[in-house]
Amino acid sequence: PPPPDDCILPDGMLFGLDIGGTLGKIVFREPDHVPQGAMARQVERLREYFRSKELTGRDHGAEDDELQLKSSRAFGGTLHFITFEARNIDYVFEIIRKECSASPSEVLKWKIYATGGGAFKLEDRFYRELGVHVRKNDEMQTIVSGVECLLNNVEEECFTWVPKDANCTEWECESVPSEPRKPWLIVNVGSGVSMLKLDEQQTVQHGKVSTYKRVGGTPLGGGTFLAVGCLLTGAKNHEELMELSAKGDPKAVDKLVGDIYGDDYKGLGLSADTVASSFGKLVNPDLRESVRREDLAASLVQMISWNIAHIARLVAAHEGVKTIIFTGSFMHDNFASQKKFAHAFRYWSNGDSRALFMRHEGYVGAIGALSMSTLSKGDHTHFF
Amino acid sequence: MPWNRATISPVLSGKIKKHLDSLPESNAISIDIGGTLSKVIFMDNFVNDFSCFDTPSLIPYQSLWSPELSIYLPGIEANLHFFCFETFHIYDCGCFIASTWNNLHKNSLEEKYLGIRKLRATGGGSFKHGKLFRKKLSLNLCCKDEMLCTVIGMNFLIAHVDHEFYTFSNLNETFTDFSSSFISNFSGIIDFPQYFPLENIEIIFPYLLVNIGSGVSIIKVTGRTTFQRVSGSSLGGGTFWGLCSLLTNCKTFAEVIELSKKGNNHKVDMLVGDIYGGDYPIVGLDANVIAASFGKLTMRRERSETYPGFFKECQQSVYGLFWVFLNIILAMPFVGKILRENLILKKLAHEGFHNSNFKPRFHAKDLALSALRTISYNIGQIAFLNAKRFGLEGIYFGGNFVRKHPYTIASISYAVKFWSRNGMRALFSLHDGYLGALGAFLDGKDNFD
Repeated sequence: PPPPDDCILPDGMLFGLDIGGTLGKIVFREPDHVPQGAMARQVERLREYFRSKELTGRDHGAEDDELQLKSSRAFGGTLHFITFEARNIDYVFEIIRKECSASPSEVLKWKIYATGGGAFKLEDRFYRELGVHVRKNDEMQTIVSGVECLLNNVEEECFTWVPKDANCTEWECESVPSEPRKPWLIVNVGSGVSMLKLDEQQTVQHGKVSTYKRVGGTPLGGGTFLAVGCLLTGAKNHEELMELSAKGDPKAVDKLVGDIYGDDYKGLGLSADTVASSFGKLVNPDLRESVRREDLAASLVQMISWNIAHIARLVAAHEGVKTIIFTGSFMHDNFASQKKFAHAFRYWSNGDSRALFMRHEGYVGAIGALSMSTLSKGDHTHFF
Repeated sequence: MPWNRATISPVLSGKIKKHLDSLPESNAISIDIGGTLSKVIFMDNFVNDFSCFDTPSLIPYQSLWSPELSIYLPGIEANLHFFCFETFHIYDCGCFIASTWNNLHKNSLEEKYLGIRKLRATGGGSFKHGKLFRKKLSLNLCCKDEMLCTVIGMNFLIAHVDHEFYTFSNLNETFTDFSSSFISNFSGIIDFPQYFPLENIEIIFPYLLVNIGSGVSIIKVTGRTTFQRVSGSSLGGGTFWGLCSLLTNCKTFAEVIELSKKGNNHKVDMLVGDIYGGDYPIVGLDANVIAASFGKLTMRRERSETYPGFFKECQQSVYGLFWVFLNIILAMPFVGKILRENLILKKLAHEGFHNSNFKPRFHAKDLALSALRTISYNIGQIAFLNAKRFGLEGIYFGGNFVRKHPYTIASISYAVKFWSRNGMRALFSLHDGYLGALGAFLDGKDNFD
């Protein structure tokens, strides 16, 4: 049976594919009510592949089970979210190749919507090696579409952290009930960071139209964190680095105002705990010998996160934006950074602006690519 | 030996001397004790005999004297000399000052210099180490605010010192060429704008002062003594030095800078071209723009399709086997320990060890250059965003990070140019590390009438 009317996606087997610098993300839409036969068997096989460990090279399978959206009306089926390391792209090719030989007629009906740099880089290879035509979409466009699509169609997708008490020592997670008012600053923290301003305009022809523009970015993002972190600590992947950082104390490697002044810098209101120079204590050669990996990892995640927040704040102030939405896989499960951001933005703006986060933050590009499949159906999104 | 560096008007020198003589503190010394480095200014009253400061006597104190920075003060026939110590050895620095005290005040010996010895100081360390100086060295540090002294120092240089500021003028459209010819041709690229001593310094205001020390302070300067610290960043010189000290085996900041001159950061950074296979024209990003600093570590190496590439890969496989063999030996309990103690093997092992999970193909020199560019770009970007916030066009960079190093200057200038679309200028000064010490020397005053 065809998908219900309020489904925003076309029917059939759909794949959103976002191949970035470090990670590849797949959103696989398994249609509801798949008839018995070749298609059902294929779905089973695909789900097996996505449970494999080879795609990620880690101890667990590629699919993020807790993010699965079962039988979603809006998406006309179940959405599976799969992450793999971009350098293991050959495994994806393997999977498609196996399916091409197992049931070629079904593969022909697949619709693959790709984005990210890899979509451009690998488009030829998909066609040459597999005969598969992948529909490319611009990365920035899909991020913007993805954020809008998720916020509109998934409950409790967007959340923030609010203080439980006046001293802001304890925080709790709070869902953002309805779509926040535009303009938004979308800070996508992937390998690198891109900052997009999403705004809304009322036009005569199309009514409300979303416009977006890339207003900033920085090369100090998740890719830097992973690379430098692994170089310094010998960790093998992002999870291991985050585990190390949870056990570390950045104060052991950072130079604080207190280390320079002996106390607070009262003239400027900088408390002794403020970080003056990240990694600054490593000037001391004795410390270099005895430094702990955990402390390095903790300092690194703090340094990169704060730098991104700092630049985001300056860009948001310049663009006149009060709602900042963080996306990208770097933020995933990184609750410590999220809480700090939420606190920082409240503090800097006296409660005026907010930092928001998303549950499917790493997959906004892939979802956006999927949602671009029905451009005629949904809202128009114009490049500004 | 005449100092032919810079001059200021004799009338002004006279006024400064008169004011400084009237103060209880020394009229010949000031110190700025920062997080990593301590900067000291000495004024000598006798042009020819400065032998107590020649290199052999400085070595025990682990100091650095930059004679090319000395400023001649006509009218009073004195020179300002600029010294740098490591704050780690602050006690040695204090001893040095104590030992030269009488020499420096020979021509102006009064009771105040014989009794309690006071000197003007600034920087966080002047608070932290005040007790040490007083109790162990009988030197009283009279602390002045760091921001005020930095601003006073910068304003003084702008108004009164000729040939002080320079910009980087030969930036082509997509400034990504860091080849060796860039280094050797560099002296032709620095451009000294025509800065005449400014009678009316007000035309410079307001400007943005970005002081890059261990950390970064960003100060909006609106008048001769009116300013506000508007922002800061913890990714500064200390971060660069700390990071490189772990990624390379360099012992000093100068060594890292030297190493970076031979590097090529394209081997270490993930570029837009690596992700897209070419340019990303929709948002105007060229293939050579850095998308993620250090990001190549996690990328798969593309297989070479040409014969020379293949031969190089065979070569590297042989080296790779050698590394594996070396690492196995170094990991062995007794033999390995002995070999590890040996400096050379320690250095080699250090470079290769941590990379065992990601193919070890990163040279320390490339890592050093990448770190330098990353930090420099970041500072340039944050400087731009703050200048934009206040509608400022001139950004003056101070602090000991730049040190006239070509790549640093180019990276910061490029970041400012890139983000401001050529709307702003990045200006560097030769005495950038000594702004605080200079401001403290001048008693934090702008007007000596």
